Amino acid sequence: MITAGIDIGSTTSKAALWIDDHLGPCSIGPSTTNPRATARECYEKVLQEAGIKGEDVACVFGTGYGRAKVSFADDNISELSAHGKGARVLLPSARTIIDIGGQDTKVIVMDAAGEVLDFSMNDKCAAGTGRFLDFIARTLGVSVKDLAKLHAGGSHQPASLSSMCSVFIESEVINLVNEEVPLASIVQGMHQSVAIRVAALVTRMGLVEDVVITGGVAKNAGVVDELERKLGVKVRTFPDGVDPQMVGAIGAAVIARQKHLKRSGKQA
Amino acid sequence: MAILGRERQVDWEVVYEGANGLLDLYEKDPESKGMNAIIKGFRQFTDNLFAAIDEGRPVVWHNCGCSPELIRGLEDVQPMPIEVLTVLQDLLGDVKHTTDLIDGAEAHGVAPEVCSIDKAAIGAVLKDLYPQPACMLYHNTPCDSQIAAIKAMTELTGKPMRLMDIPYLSGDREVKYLAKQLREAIPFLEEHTGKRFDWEKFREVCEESNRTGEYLRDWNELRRHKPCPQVSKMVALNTALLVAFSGDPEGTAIAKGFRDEAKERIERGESSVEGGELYRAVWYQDPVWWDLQFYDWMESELKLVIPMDLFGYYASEAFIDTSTPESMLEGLARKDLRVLPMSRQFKGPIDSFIDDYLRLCKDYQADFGIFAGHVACKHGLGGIGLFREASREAGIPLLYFEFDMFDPRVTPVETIQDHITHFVEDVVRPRKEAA
Repeated sequence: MITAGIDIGSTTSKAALWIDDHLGPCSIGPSTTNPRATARECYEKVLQEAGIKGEDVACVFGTGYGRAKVSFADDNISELSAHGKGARVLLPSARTIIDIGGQDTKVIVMDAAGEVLDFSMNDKCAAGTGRFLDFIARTLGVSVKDLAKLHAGGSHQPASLSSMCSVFIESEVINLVNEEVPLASIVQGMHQSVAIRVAALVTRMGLVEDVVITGGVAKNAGVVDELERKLGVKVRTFPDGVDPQMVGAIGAAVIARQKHLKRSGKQA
Repeated sequence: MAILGRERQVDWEVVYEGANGLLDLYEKDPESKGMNAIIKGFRQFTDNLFAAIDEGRPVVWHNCGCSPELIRGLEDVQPMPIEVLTVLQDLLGDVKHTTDLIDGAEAHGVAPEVCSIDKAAIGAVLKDLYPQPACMLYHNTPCDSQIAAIKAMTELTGKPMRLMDIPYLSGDREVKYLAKQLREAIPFLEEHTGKRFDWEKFREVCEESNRTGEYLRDWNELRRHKPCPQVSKMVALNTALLVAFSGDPEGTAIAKGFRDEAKERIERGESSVEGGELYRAVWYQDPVWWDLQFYDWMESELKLVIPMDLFGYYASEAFIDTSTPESMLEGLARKDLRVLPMSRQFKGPIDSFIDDYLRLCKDYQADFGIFAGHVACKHGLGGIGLFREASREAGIPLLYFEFDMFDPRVTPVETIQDHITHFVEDVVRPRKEAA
């Protein structure tokens, strides 16, 4: 059986196929002002890569902020459930899932049986999100993809960024640049600032190992490094080089399979 | 005094009109016995308060930690909880008047972190909305904020005040300690009201309080029924009943209304949720008093019912032995220490706070718990980590969010609805489906 998950996020849109209980092709692209078309485009890509047609897919679930716009989806599921399910399927020992997306940060705590037990979200404040990193990278005149490289490049002496607000932190960063503080230190300080925010959310939930990070920011090794320092635990990575940004779409595809089996009277 | 005579301030008029409007809605509905009874009770309370002012009878202020039975032992004295206008305004009137009072108190210099109900009470005093008290009788529970408000009110009114010390624990030694203070308060009340304390009247008051308690115990039992027979918002009202009507026949009538309605609905096989309940949650900490329709939303949109909350829970230690003056004082002290919602849970070791919650979840077959953290209840919020641990150990999902129970500006109702919807969709529903 083939099922699909489409994750329409604030910054990127993703599609994943789940084929006979294994991960199939995945695709990712920027979110646009036309989420319906974006969803269709991502979906077409994975279908093409798998060499199948839409009618070969038993069930499609949408997730993410734009989940309601996935017009061809059979149903949709919240990103909390999708990320929780996706992380657990890929890494069954995962109990705390930190999803740092473009627009918000979520901490999802799973119970031993793999059900969501609790969650906490920062969806009101830009600080500690992917958008925040984009914004500061622009201020520094570097690409967001280079942040991890810059972080690793210097000795670990993070610049002190006192502000927790993404608006005020920009002027702090400009001051540091004018004071000729090394770029690596500024980037490390910025990553530390993100890690402090996220760690506070995790601590509030009660940290349960194993910890895993999903979302686009999980690809920034600098943030992961600072988060490990703050939490005092090793953050696990997904096996087989699975892209952590795809976890929501994968989770949606897995839930689509389970729901489809349940609806058709079979065991998940 | 500004509210003397028939010229009432707008704030009280709004409350009164609110009560009348709600009675118009509910009075003809034979199935709303409980709601009818408490709205009538609130209106009666307002009538009694105005009558006392008009007739020149002494009014004694007390706080929500201090049950009014002792004050009722005096002839022709009207007890008045200092939170009364805020509660009535939020439940019956227009919350805008409460927020105006809060703003007034803050503008006067009251610290923003003081509880909104206390700020509103100070605001009411500043606006001369309360009748001048002959004296004031308080307990130093349930929180530090209330103590700050009590001090402010004493300063603002210049009236005599007696503050009883509520010990950390609530064992027999502590009951005797409080009973002694209650006895010592009697000459204080007599001196400043000019009225005699009548032990026989006090006995009748305590017996009335017991009658109310018996109905409430029955009602607590009946609400365990699955499906829950009565709407969720009923449980949020019980504290108002206890604080304003303990020892008053009106309180017994309200409790009987609660009980009868639940009993009759069970007999008729009725559920509080149209189409049947899907989820049950124990609501802990404080209810959303500024929007009781929020509870209707939970029932209609999520099929979620609150069979019991911290305010509705009536602990069984409330019976007052009326055989001797000493037994009555000890019984009342026991009720104050071990029964009154918040006073029972918010003092002493947190274990009893958590134990009550877990017991309620079990007794009321809750699918999950909702810890609605009123931002000023720091003593309650401080234990959230322990709460979370205990809930996880017991396998009961716990939703936690912060809001203000008297001020909708802190967390709007839409945000609270989002919290609950997400939690039901992402945590509760998958578990029920998997079970």
